[in-house]
Amino acid sequence: MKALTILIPVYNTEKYIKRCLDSLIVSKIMDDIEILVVNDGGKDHSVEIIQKYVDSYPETVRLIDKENGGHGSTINAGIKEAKGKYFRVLDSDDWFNSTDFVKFVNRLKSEDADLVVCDYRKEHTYNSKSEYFVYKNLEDRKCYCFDDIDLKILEGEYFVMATSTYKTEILRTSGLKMLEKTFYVDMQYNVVPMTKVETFTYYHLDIYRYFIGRKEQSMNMDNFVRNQEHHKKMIKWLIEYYTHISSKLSSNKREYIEIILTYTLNTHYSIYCEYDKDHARAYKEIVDFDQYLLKVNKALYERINCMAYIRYNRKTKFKFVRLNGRKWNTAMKMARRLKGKF
Amino acid sequence: MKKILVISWFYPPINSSEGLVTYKLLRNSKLQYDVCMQESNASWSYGNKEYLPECENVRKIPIQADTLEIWKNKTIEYFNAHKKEYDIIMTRSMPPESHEIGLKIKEIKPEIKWIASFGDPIANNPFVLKTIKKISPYSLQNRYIRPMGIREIISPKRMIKNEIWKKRMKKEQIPYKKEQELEDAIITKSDYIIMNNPYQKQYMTGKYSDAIKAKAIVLPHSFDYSLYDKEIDAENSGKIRMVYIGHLDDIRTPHLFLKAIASMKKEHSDLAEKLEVFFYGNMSVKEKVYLLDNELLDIVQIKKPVDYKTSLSLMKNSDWLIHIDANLSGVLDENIFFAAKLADYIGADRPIFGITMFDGAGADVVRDVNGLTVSYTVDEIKNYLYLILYEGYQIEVNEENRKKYDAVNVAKKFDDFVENKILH
Repeated sequence: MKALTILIPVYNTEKYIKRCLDSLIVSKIMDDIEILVVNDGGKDHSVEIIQKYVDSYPETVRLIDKENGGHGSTINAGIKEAKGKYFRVLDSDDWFNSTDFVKFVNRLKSEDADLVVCDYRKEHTYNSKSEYFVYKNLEDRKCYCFDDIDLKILEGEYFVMATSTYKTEILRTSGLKMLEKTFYVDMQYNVVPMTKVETFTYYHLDIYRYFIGRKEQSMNMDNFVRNQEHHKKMIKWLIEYYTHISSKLSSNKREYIEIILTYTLNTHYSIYCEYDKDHARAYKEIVDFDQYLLKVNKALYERINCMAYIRYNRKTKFKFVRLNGRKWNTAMKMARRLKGKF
Repeated sequence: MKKILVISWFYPPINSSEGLVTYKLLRNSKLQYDVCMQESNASWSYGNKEYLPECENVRKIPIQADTLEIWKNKTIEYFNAHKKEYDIIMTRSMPPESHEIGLKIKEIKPEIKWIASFGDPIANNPFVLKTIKKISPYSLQNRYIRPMGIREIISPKRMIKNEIWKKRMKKEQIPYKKEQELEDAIITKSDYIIMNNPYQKQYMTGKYSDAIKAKAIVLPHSFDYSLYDKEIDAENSGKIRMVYIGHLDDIRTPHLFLKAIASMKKEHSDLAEKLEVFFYGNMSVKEKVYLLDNELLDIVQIKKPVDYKTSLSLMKNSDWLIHIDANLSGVLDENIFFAAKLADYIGADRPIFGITMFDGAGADVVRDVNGLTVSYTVDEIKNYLYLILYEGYQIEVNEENRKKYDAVNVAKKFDDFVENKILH
C-alpha cells in the first residue's frame, strides 16, 4: 500500500500544473506516493501536460478525466479512487517544497495518527513576500489525542486543507461528501472528517506553498460578494450538519468545530454587513439568514454575538445595512475596530 | 523587385538588441532592403563590434551624425533625394526617432506604404511606470501606510508641500504626454504595425478602433541558426552550468535567484561542486555586494558583456539558460515584453529557466518551448534548483514549437505579409 495519495484537482490550469507536478516527482519517494490528478472538465492543455507525467510515471501518476462538477466533486472522486493510506489535497496552482515533502513521506511510512498536520506558506509572488503559517504551540512529531488537548494550544486557529493530511479511511468513514458545483467547500473538508479524528500528530515541516499571483487575490471580498449564494449554501449545510451531529461529539470537538463555524459565520455576516454594495439585497439576505440561524442553532446564534458588529447590527435590526451613508461608514469603522478585539 | 527602405538607428556592426533583431529578419527575408543606419559614433551607441556576415539582399546606408536629431534630418534628406526609389518603408524603434522620420516621410510621399515596427511601447512603458511615484509623500493617503498624527494631518506645511509635489509631478508628466502623442500619431498614420507578441499588441492598440487594430501583425523575435558557432566546446567542469546573458538592473533583477542560491548553500554544503552560474553583462552594485556578503563567488561569476556571436556560443555551451523578466506587478497583470535574447536562447536549444510573471509574453514563449517558468519567489526558484541539482530534473525542448522562432520562418511570415498585403 502506498503511504500517501495526493489529490490534485485541475480546472484549466495549464500554466501552473507543470510546477505543481514537478514539485512532487522526486525519485526517492516515487514508490511511496500516488498522485491522483482529477481534471474537472477543463478544456485547456492541462490534460496533455498531465498525460506526459502519466506516461513517464505510470505506477505513480493517475489521471481521472471527468465532467465538470466543481472542486468538491474532484475531492469526492479522489477519496473514492485513492489507494494511499493517507490522503491530502494539493491545488494545481500551488506546489510543495520538495525537500520537506521527501521528509514528510518518509515519516508517513511509519505513521498511524488519524490526522497529520504540517505548516504552510503563502507565496505572494506579486511582491515576492512569503507568509509562513506555523502551529507554534504544537510539538514536532508528538501524537495528540484530540479529546485530551487544551484547544488553547491552537490559539484560535484550526487545521485547514493546506495543512491537513487525513487517513483515507477516516475520510471514508466520516461520510464526507463534498457539495458539487459549489465554492468554499474546503470548509466541509475542514469540519466533517474531524468528527472521526481521534488522534493527530504535528510535523514541523514547511510543505505547502499557496500561490497568490495578484494582490487582489489575497483579500478579495468582491469574490465573496459575487459568490454569496455559494457561501450561503455551504454555511447552511455546515450549520445543519453540525446541529445534527453535535450531541454525538465530545466537548472538545464541539468547541473546535464551533470555532471554525464562528470564523465562517463572521465571513458570511461581513459579506452582507460590510461588502455587498447592493444594500437592499444585503439587508434582505442578512435578516433572513439571521432568523434562520436563530431557528436552527440558537447556541451558535448567541455565540457570534461576541463580534461587536454583529451584536450592533442585531440591536439595530440590521437597518444600517440598508443605508449607504456616512453614518453607516462611521459605524462600520468603529465596529471593525471593536471586532479586532474578538 | 522593389526595395524596402528600413530606417533603423541601430544595425550591425552597431551593437544593440534592436539592430540584431532587424538584422536576423532582413537576412532571412527574400526581399531587398536599404538600411538607413547611423555611422558608428560614440554619442549614443553600444559599441560597434558586431561583425556579422553581410547579407546580399541588404545594402547599408550609414549616415554620419553625432546626434539623433542630425541623423533624423540627414535621413529625411536622403529620402527626399531618393524618394522615387521607394514605395515601402519600415521604421524600427527604439529609438522612436526612426518613427518620427516615418511620419515625415509619410507627409512627403503620402502614397508610400509605411510599416512601423515596435520593440517596446514609446508611451506608458511599464518599465518607466514602475518607477513613477504615484502617491505624494505628503498626501493624506499616507495615513494608511504609516502612522500620521493629528498635527501632521492638519498641518498647512504638509498641505503646501503636497500642492508643490503635485505641480512638480505635472511638469514631469509633460514628456510622457509628448510620448503619448507621438505613439498615437505613429499608430494612426502608419499603414501597418509590427509587434513582437500579442500582449504588446493588446497593450498598445487595445484602445483604438478595429480598423487600426487590424493594421497590427505579430512577428515574434527570432533566432538565426546559422549564426551559432558549432565549433566551440565548453570546458567540462562536471558542474551544472547556468548562464544569463544580457543587461540587469534594479527592476530586471537577479536578486531572488541569488537569494535562492544563498539559501541553498546554507542547506547544501556541496553546492559549489554541483553548480556554476555565469552572468554576462551589467549587474547592479547592490547585487555584487550581495554576492560578496553571502560568499557566493565560488558559485556565481559576473563576466563582462560579450559580443553577439560569442554570446550565442556561450548559450550553446550551457546546461540551462536563465531568463529574467522584470516583475511588473502593480503596473500590469500580464507581461508585455518578449526579450529578443529569449529567441536566441531558443535557438541555442538549451532548457530555459525563466523567472517571469506567470501571465504574459515572456512566460508564454518559455512555456512554448517547454522551458520552466518560475514566479518571483525565492522558495520556488530554490525548489527547482534543488530538483535540477540533486534530483536529476531535466526537460526536453519542444522542437516543433521551437521552429516558430526560427528566423527563416519568421522572415517568411514577414515576406508573405508584404507580398499579400502590400504588393498585391
